[in-house]
Amino acid sequence: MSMLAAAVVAAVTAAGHLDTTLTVKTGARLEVSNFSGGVSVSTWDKNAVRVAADFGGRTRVTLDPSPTTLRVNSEGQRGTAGVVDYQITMPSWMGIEVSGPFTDVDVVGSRGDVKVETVKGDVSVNGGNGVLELNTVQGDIALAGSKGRIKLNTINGDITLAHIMGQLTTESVNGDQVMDDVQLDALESSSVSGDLWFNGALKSDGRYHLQSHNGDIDVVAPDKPNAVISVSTFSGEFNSDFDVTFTGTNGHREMQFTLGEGGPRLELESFSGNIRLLKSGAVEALRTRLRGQSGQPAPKAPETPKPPKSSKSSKPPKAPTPPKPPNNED
Amino acid sequence: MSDLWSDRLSEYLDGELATAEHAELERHLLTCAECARDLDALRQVALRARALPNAGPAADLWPAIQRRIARSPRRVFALPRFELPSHFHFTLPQAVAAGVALMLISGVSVYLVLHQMSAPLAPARGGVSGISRVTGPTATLTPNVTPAPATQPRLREGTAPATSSAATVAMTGALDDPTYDQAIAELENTLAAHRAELDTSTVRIVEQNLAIIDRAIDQARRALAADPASPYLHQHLALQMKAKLELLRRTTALAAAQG
Amino acid sequence: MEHSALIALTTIPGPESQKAAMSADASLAARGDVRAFERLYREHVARIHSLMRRMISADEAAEVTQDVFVRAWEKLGSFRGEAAFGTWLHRIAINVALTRRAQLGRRRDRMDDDPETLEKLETKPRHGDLSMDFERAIERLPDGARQVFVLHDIEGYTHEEIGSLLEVATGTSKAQLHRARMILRRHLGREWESHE
Repeated sequence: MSMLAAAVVAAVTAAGHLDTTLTVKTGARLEVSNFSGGVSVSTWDKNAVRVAADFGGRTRVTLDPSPTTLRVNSEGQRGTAGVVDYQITMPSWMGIEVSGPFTDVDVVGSRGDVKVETVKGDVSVNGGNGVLELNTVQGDIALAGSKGRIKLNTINGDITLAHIMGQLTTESVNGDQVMDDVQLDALESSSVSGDLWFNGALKSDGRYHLQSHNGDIDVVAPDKPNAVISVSTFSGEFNSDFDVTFTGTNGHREMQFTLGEGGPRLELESFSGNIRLLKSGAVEALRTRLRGQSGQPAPKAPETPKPPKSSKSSKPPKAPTPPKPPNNED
Repeated sequence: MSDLWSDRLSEYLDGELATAEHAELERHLLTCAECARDLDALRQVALRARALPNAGPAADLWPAIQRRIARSPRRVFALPRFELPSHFHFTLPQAVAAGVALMLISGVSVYLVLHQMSAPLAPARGGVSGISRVTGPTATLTPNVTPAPATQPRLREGTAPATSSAATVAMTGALDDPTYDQAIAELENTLAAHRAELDTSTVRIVEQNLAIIDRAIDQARRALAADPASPYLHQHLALQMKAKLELLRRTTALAAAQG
Repeated sequence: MEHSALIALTTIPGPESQKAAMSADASLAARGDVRAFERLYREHVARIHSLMRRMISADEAAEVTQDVFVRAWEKLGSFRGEAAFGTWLHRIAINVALTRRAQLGRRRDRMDDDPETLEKLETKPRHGDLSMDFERAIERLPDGARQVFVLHDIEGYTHEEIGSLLEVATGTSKAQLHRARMILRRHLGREWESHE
């Protein structure tokens, strides 16, 4: 007997609305492929996946369950698919993968793996536990309340993170990165021209490497910090709220010093940006500035999963609004 | 304005009504001044539209266009029935794979080597803010050039030192790396061949970001030329070059996926 | 991805300027002659820019016009002279505009029937340059009505062709055209104003 319900392939050929629910067995995964539009995912406690979609003419939505994976696809009947907006509700344990070049994605309440691949979409995940990989080219990435091995990559967008645990790798070329209230075992954060801002715990055997070419790097340390810190820069400045005594410099722009008892390794490198080590008073000022910039509150910790109405996440990239029923004559 | 015919006036104007309806509307127009007035207005709108002048942009766009097309090498084999010998033409998977392999070998292992070259630092003298240049004995560089396994680019500590000639090779690798240049060139060519399959705003964003990285690479190179013994500058240059390779590889893969 | 399938579906009324000199420049440009491409740019930029301004927005027109010419350069290698260069360029422009619109149009009704939007536009225009008022009025049309109006009344497509390009029924296209014209009639200028 297959893990999923009997195969349901829904091929809807006219503009319309799809709303169907399939039961799934624990361990199944969800893969959504959508060319353009939105994919909005929330979770519930049932072992079932509900797929609702709004789309125009010449587009087909297909649901293809296999023993291990439920695949949801947008297909064009002739050429590329049109815009499809999905509202999906899945079990919180379910791993999900979403891909599509012009698709915004938001996922709320997941306790499983989350993987997103898009070109021009924003990605917003509130939750996630395990392997999280979020990739976009032009879009922003917002992540909160996640835990695991996390890799985020955007070329031109910003990365905004809060309440994250685990191992984190973040890369951007032209986007800023804000990591607020994080408790990481390891961090690799790099950007070419983006600024990096970090406010998080420094674990005793943790290694935290922040690297930029001409972006600024701001690190907020706890009031009595313990860390071994190395700072490298070519033409930038280094400023510290804490008294530092350099334990070493190699005459080639690399300085080392120890705060407190040492322990966590913090490596801060910016070729021409400024590097600052700040006391915790700086955090509120930054949060206020972020609120002002985006017009939205800074990332909050997730609440318990809401029932399957469109629960929106409250983070800088706005969650897509529920689609209106199409009113073209078609 | 609410009679049944007013919504059909445009169709009437464009000659799209069936014969019977056309005749009926025409009869209606004889008695309905409002519809006749509306029809006349619609006709004027359509005429005005046809006669609208075209206006170019306020600023001359040519310089920016020229810069952008200069960046994208024109495919030589765009001419009909002209084909380059096969060894010049890398298929996308080969170029992508080459890019990945070269990134791991040239960029990352240079980075690893240079990290291990950061020998114990000399004690600092002078002030504690800003960068203090120490005039003292240069740190002894005892590099290890064992390349890390390609799948595991993490720093390894406590490996045995190698000869200094190997160190020279590794150090100049980042500054003047023909294999890297070749990988970049191949990826750029493949991207140019498939660029038209990407949407234009993505192309523009990628170009802007490639320019950002190129500027960073240029600045890092100049700094390194002035201070060739700096491990940080070597490592930094290597990371920027890796970023460029990665961006090109990713964009090329995207273009291929949408083709 | 572009609406590349649409190139085959539609025939576009070509511009009247199809001189022999133009096709020479196109051949040269196809072989990489940047000067020849610059001449083509200067010849066609006004038309392409106006099309982009009307189909997308005034703010983005310059940027998107650049995109069109860059895309044309990239594709020139495959231009075989099967149509006049201007026609071929025009198709690229339409594709770029529609692709961009498709991306931006997600979660937004493309045929905006919001009565408030329509009411905002149905106000008497200020006095001044009448053709600028008319152009501005076009730019302020609701999105769906504007696309149809530009493609039908300015660019000369049929409703069937527009239906394919915009993925709507022919009837929708006709209704949107009528709506656009009814709004725009108030911006023809003093001598043409119709009074309610």
